[in-house]
Amino acid sequence: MSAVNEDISGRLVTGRHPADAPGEAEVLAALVARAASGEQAAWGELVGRYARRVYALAKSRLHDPDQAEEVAQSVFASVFQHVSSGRYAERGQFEPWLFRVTMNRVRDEVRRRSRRPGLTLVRESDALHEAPGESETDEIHRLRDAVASLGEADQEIIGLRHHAGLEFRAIAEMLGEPVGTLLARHHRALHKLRAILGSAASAAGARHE
Amino acid sequence: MSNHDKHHHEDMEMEHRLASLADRERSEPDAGFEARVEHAMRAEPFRRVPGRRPKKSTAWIPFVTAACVGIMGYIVWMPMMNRPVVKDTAPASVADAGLGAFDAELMLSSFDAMDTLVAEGEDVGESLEYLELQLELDGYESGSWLELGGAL
Repeated sequence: MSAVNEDISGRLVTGRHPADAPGEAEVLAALVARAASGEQAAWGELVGRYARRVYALAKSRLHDPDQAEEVAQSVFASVFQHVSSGRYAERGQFEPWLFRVTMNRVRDEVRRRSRRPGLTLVRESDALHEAPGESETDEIHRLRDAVASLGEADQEIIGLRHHAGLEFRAIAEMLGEPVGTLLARHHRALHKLRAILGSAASAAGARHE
Repeated sequence: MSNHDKHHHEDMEMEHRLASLADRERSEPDAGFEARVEHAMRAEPFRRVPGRRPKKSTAWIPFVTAACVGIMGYIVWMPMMNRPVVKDTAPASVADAGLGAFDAELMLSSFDAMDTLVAEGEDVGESLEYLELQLELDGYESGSWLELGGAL
């Protein structure tokens, strides 16, 4: 565990995304303030920075491009209303707040689907097992299926860390859990992914033989 | 390579693969994605801006529903429409209850008819009393209805 902590701690210090680099937090705060004052260009910049990350997070959980885009649109509509009306007070928490809103929307959608299990099965099976496109490599396809087969908590940490591109510190703020707990959960999720991909590769090898 | 280094290497490799997957997902939307998000963002109230994946039309649903309701109505109501109409259900039900024709008639009579029946009953009662008086006056003692009839 200490190795993981050291490893992740290194990334926490160096930062992976603009908002985590020194000075970038202030830049983001200023951008949100400009957006709150009604500046159109600031909103365009915020959408440019985050819309695809929101989309990727939603897609990782919903496995449906159309619904992922709908979630992205509704998330930004909600963010726009809160920031424009002054209900959001900028305290350097924009990213965790944005992705918390996203996760809530995604959970709502998952719950809605669970009430209509027929729809869930059809859509997920369509999305997960559709034939890979010309640009879709088999590896990406297998990895996507493997992530989708993880439990909800594991999918959540993988989605927030990789698809949303959040640092563990931001995830901890967002979920209200200690960083160490999240690091351990992430490590276990990676281990499970390796196991799933390894067993899938073994099965594929056996079929070829 | 130690066990620790091996796990570290495997973790790094898996993170790299997940980063590739995330990049793929982020680059999936078309060029108009951000414009649609901005447009939907400002819509009041929120309305989804259709993208490159137009949803299948659902305009047929009300028509098909109406047609189904019509067919169901036809199936359910037509046999009922063709069934012979039964009138005066009360006497039938009385007959079903096992009552005689007179009882049924009595039950369905008006108050006037009931009064007539009661009055006739009183006449019969008076007649019987008169007959009894006559028998006493004549001093007849009869042992049977036959003797009584002969005496009268």
